[in-house]
Amino acid sequence: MKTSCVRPLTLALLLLPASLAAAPQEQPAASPNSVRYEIRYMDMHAAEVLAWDQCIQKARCRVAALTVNDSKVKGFLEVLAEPAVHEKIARALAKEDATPRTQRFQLLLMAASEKAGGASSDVPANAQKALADLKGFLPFKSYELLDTAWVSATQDRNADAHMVGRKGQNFRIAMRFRNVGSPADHSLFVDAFQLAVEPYATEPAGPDGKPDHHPGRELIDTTFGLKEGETLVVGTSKVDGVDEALVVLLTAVPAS
Amino acid sequence: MNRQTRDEQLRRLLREADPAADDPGLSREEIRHMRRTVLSAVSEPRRRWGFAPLLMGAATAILLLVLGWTLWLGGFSTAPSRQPVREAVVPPISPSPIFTVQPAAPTLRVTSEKPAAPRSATHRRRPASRKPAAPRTSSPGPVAIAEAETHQIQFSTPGGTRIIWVLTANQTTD
Repeated sequence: MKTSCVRPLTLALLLLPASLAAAPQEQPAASPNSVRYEIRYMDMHAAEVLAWDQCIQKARCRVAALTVNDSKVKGFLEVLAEPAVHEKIARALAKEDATPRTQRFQLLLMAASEKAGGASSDVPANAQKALADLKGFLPFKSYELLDTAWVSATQDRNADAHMVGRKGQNFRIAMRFRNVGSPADHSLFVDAFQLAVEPYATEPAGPDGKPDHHPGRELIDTTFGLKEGETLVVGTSKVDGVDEALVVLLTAVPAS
Repeated sequence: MNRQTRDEQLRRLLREADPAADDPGLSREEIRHMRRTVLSAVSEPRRRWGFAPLLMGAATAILLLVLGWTLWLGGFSTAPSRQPVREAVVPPISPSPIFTVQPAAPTLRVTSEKPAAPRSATHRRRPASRKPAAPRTSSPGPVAIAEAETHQIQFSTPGGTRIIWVLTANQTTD
């Protein structure tokens, strides 16, 4: 009984101001609503910019990025916008965030020595400029190409390559990259790059005839940003007492 | 000629020169019509919103009545509260910021303008004695991590090639 009286009065109260305000004004455009988008592969900032670019009236848009540490989801975009803008954002994200980025890397393992030697003519053309810059900058007199490798890597996944050096040494390069560029800018960030020498044995030097065992160890552990088409030089000196430096020329090969 | 005579002469001259002296003027109906036009033009907005204070007063009175009644009945305690339709909540996944390794609180960044460029990660350098956090893939044999102090130097050649050089202070010879 009591509630049956309250409801009509509340309804009348709610309808009264609405009827007063409705007459002289036009009906506004569709009101903004908030939608959460799941970002799986794109860089969060790039996704944020992509969503923001879809907003025609910037004053009526709000974009928030939430990064999560999960293998399946990179993060979420919380977007407050009109329905038409949401449709554009959904289309753009469906196009750009559909598949993980893959990138091919060219790896050149070189030995740099302070002794004069012949010029290494086996260096591919795309790394010639980097090698020329290196020759003019570091005090080494010769560079010898030891091994080459091609790595096709998928973003956020580990990739590795095995390369052969001198005296039976084997090297392992482990790397992982993430996509940090917008769809137009193909920048990437290598968040793990390791060069390690694997365990190996050398020919017996002593009279006992037993081979010398060398444990493996890590030589380089670093991170860096890289642009598609750029060649970066990563190197270390004094490898296992040899007067040589180990140099890796890493090129992010552009997609043809 | 005194002043009064001069005023009468002036008045007479003005009346004689008046071009509308013979005009009979507006009729009574025309005067009423003009008055109606002027008054209606002025009072129209007042008439449109004239009842607004009355309605607002009535609305306020009804609001107070309903509120008082509801409180008196204890309606707030019995009515089920509505949950918010949507809010930006942190998903139940352990979050971490973009360019750090240590787990941290979630980073929720709201932009009302164009999102700013991200922190440049190009020249990021790890601490010298930092434990490696890089991928550990299947390896044919155990790889001992050298307990040596390492330093990294990053520089660019005049030709634009970037170089990262790792210096190991306590390199052991096998």
